[in-house]
Amino acid sequence: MAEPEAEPLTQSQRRELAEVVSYWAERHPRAQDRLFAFGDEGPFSPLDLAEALRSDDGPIARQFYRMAQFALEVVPFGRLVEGFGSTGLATS
Amino acid sequence: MTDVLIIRPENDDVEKTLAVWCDLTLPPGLAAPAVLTVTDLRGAAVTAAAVQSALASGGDIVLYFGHATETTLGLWTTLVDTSTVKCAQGQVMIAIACKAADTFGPSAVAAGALAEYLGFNDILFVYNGNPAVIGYNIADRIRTYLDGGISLRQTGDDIVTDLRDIESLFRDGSMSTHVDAAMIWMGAHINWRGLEVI
Repeated sequence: MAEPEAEPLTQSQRRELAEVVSYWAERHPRAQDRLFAFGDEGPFSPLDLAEALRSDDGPIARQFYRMAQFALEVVPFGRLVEGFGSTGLATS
Repeated sequence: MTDVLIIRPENDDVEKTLAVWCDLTLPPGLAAPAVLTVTDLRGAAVTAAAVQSALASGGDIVLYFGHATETTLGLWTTLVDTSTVKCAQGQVMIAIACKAADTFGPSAVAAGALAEYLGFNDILFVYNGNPAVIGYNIADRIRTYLDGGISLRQTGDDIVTDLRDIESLFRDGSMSTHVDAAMIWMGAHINWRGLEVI
């Protein structure tokens, strides 16, 4: 059976994560070449993900936030944000 | 020797990537010494009737690469569910798919339709940009299981170990500067976290 739910991201965390992922996606030089899928949603590019997160709605955003909330089991939120921010800066 | 049934619907790009994972497991044209026969249901041939007929005809191991829900294999079309899976003949099933280890797998094992089940109880992250990322490791471990000599539980433990290594590699290791590092390590994390052997 599925394990208990991890702590959901707060609204401010979601906003901050959406902002930094958008930044990362837009600065990616070959963003449309990188495709992901979460569960039944996908494939989509980082730009698709950024757009979904901006609207903070829809299945892609929900799946991503779910993945992020589990990631917070192993890194602090700042580190997670930094992960996207630093790669974005590195390729800008 | 082992009779293997492969089911890969290939309905969309995600399932096509998963079909590549299947080819990484049993490369076309290359012999797998411990595998006696392979029945490969793929693409349009994957219908509910065909899947249930193949399950009812027996065999040893079923490999599913495609979409699923908590209670079904198949997403837009239910190929088999917690009720119809009772046609199975006690095979081992490895389902590389979302969520079906939540209810479908445990229910099938409890009913005696499947002997064992390896799958995921949450979303399964797929990196379509390079199917070998994550896909290779899962395929390699399944292939080792098909070769015989290790248990399904050990196979599950080995996949978890590999996925945790990928997580570490992209989170803190030499791949941490990869442009998609954050996505990949988060995906590897949720994948190993959701893996279950029943």
